[in-house]
Amino acid sequence: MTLLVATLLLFAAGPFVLWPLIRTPDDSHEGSTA
Amino acid sequence: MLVVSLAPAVDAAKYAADLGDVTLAYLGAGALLAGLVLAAFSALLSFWAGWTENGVMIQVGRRAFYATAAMLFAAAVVLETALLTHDFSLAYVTEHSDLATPIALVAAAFYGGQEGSLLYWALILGILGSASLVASAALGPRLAAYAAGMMAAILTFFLVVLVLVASPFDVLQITPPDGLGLNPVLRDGGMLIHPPVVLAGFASFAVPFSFAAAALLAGRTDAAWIAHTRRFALVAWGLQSTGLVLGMWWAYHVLGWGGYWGWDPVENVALMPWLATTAYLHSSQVQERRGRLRAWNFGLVMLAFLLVVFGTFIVRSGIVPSVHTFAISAIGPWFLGFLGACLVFSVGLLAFRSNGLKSNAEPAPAVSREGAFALQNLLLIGVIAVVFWGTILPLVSGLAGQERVVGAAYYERATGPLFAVALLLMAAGPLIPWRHAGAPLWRSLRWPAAAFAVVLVVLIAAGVRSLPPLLAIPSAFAVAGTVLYEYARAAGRWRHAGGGWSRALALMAKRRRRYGAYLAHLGLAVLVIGLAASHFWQQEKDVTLQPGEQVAVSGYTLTYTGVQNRELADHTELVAAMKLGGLTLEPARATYAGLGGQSLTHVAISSTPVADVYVVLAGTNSDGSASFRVFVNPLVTWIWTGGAIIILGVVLGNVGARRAAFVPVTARVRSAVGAS
Repeated sequence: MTLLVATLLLFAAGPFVLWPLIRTPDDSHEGSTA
Repeated sequence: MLVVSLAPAVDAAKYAADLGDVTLAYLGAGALLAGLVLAAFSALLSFWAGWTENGVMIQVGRRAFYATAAMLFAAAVVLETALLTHDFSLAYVTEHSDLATPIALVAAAFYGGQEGSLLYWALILGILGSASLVASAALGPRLAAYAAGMMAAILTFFLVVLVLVASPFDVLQITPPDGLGLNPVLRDGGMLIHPPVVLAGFASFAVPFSFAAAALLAGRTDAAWIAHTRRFALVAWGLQSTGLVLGMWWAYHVLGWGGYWGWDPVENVALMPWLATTAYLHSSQVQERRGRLRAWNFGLVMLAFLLVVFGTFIVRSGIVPSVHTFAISAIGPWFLGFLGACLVFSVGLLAFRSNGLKSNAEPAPAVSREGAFALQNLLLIGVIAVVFWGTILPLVSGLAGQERVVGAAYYERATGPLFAVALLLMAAGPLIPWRHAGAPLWRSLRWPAAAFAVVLVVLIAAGVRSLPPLLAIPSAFAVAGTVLYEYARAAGRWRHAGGGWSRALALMAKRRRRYGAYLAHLGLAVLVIGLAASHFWQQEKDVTLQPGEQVAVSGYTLTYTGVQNRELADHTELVAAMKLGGLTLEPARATYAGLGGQSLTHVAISSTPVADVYVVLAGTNSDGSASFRVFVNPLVTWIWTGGAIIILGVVLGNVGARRAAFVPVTARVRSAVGAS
């Protein structure tokens, strides 16, 4: 049960923690359009 | 489904209620486990991203740190909810609260026990660490990433302990109808302010430590890290100063032995990091102004944190006898391991960077501001050494076969001369110019010298012949004289330059760091006068009185009028009445029947700026008489006033101050960093 709660909380924190990666444009995509 | 179909309706409701209780425990434990994963992730990622200067990953690591702080906050909210709703399915709630305890103290039980106070420690580090990272943009991404990594690593340790060894969310197999309650000594208003401040102070030393270690790791040994670290070192110092004074105040008002400082191990371990940080706040100026004492400054910040970890180990492992009893628990070896790791890491890092810490500046003469700071630092380190060895003597001598303990006399004899010289230095230091001293120095020293001489003559004329008060009190007045002279000199200079008093005040506000520090010096002088007077001139008398009889102590006459019993919610009180002029003092003894008849003394104090009359009810007899211990403590209120002035000086000197401008050193940084 504790593990389940921890997993859910980590899942919920994901977008906040990973936002810099989500926001940053993909390098390879940029390269192909350049 | 099976449960619902087989069980009667009433049991289903109970099952749901039990599940609701247990859910709170799972929520808390889950938040701690998620926090542990995030902290470890933040530590590893921040170090790696700082090393490779990967701007995006630095941000992810930093956000993982913020998320760790959020998880700690969530766990804290869960624990507080469990306490306030009297959820006795949690072992922590059962052990540290009960239904009869007033609700404010139930809330305070959050930090009243081992597990909860560790959670509080980690929470404060999460919050202050997040604040320090938000404010760290100007330091450059690599240093800030390493600092995030350091703080996340420290939090990882705390979360490992909280998850594996000392969880506040452990569930009891059988839920009791009521809890065991808080220790009676902790059932006091002081419980609401002293522990949270002193624990926050302890936690806050990790922030300057992390930035110092990060600066060394990043090879940034210039003064840029000092400006940032100093700010958080001041937060730690301010919190610890407040915690120490509040602790003294609480001990004085609650413990009933007439004093406020007993050189108990817990007091000692709170004092040592404070002393190390006091030294750092002064020596850091030498690096800022003159580029010297680089290695020393790093060493002091690291020492302060190591002393905090050492203190936490000493207090919580229960290996040294102390009045502050945390239950002996399994966390001792964990903290010993952590202390060892921090020590090896700090010493190794300083040795590794030692080449880059050499100063190119020319040496300063001994009589200069730099020299004064260096001497003050050595004196404070001396005090730390005295206190350190006194504290661990039982441990060391126990290992050698015979346990020895030192008392207050050892500490007073050994630290007294060091404090006396430090005090004289405090009077002279602010008047000694940087780099060199000359004729102007001796001219300006005449003011503190005059203050010293006048007070010395007054004391001798009043019949004082003992050397310690004849040294301490005039020295404290000399410190005050220096501060007032500095204020007067600045005000006069600016007033004559045009603009009058308002302009002078505005200019003083502009240089608030300096004049705030002087205010803190003034507060310390007031505090020292209170300490010296109450320590050297305390009067004490033990008496047994029949109703109507009087006792006179140091010119104060008290009349005992009788005793009565009072029934309160969670205890009964035997209250004696003593008339002091128009006042009635009511010293009492409280007995907690629910706690196996534990009893506790309630001191009665009449405070004036001149002296406190402090009455303790020792006991009552069948013939109607009562025994008392009466103290007259001169100038104790000066201690609390001095403490308040120190904090005021720290706050006025730093709140709203402009940030120092940094010169970015790391140019090879990706543009994504700092964009958020």
